[in-house]
Amino acid sequence: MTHPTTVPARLPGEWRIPYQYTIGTFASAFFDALREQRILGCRCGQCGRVAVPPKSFCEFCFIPVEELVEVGKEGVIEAVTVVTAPFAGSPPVPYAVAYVRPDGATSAICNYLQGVDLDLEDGLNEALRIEARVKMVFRDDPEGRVTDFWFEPLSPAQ
Amino acid sequence: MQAVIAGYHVLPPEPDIPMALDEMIYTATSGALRDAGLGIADVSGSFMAASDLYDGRAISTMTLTGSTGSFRRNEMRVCTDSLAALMLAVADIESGVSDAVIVCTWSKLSDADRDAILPLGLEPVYSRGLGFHPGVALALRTSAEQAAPTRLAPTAVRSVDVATALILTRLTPGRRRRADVVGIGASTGPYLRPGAPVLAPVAKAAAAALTSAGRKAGDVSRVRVAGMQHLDDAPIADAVGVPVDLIARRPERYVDLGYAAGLHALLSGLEPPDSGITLVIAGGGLSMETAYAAVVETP
Repeated sequence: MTHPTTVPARLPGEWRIPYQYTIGTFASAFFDALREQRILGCRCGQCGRVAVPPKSFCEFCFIPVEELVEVGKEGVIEAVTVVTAPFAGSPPVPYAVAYVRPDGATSAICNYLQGVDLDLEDGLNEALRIEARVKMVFRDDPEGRVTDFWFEPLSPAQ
Repeated sequence: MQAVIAGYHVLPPEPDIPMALDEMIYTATSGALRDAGLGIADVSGSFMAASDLYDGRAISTMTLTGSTGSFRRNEMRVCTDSLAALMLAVADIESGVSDAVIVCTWSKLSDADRDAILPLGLEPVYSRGLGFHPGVALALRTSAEQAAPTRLAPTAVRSVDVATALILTRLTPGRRRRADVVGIGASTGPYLRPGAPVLAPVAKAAAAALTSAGRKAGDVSRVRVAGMQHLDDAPIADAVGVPVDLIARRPERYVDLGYAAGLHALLSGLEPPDSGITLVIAGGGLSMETAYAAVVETP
């Protein structure tokens, strides 16, 4: 035999690796606050930036941060995408994901953007424009997870 | 060659450090900067060593940029022992690209399941499919070297969390100088070949580091061994060409520091400072197929 003539096979395999991530006191405070339907950030004592979610140090100044602050439940879209490509474990398409800078914060946090018609044939919904204002909407039974809230557009009257 | 360790910080290994990983790393990097008398603006990048499997993060450096000090700076990570990250940093300094850089490394096994992770280092089809323990690879390689059967006994290796950082700089008058890195070396050997010494890569890396330092094995005051828990001191001493009493292991032999082992071994020689010339050697892979070495002198 000069070369293999069989069909190349595939053998099953998998990686199943459990982890228990230590999240530290700042992130723990963030998730505790979510249970109370509040969003926490942290303020750097040197540059004054308010990061959301909070970290125990400022990435810009490289100094420890000590102050937790509550930020607004409204904010503006910094980036948004409408996903029409399904991926393992993702919600049914189409769905929108946005980075939103909450009022009082200088960084943005990511979550789903709901309450927007994503099936427009003539382009994207106006509610998806950058700098459009949105609100954080909490589920009735928050459990201290990032899935406790999502974003929805503010109505023009608001 | 002369790259200077201007400062360092070691978060002592503990079974469970109750901090988020980025907080552990920030503690190490900011502490090293403070020890060096430098600020974050003084460094141009970070060289790091970490394992995605140990961290539970894919391409962990991307999610840890803020804490490693590489935010808006150069960064490079190796997925092998931290002495390899040190080698890259030395090259960066020696070539004149950078004046000062951070070298950092970490491991967070308390977040993980070590028994679930280690087999993933095995080749997936022919080796992992057999379900054997990764220590088998080293036992088989030893058998091939000795042309005799070997016995793999249970070894209790303790899992720990650790984060370590140092600041590497050009030799600059007036700047802090904890130690000098005067030689580096590396080698990768064959996986398994009858008669081939298991520690051939270790020997070659050590020889290369000593040559680049302009030194010989006889000049070495001690050899600090990183990792290699399954290997006794005597064969390591033989491979490097020093008396066995020069072999030093700290904090202890049977502890898994992950890829932080090399840098941790190096820095353990600075507190208190080793006198004379220290050779640091780290073996990697499942069966020591790779090795890295550094020669360090305290001024």
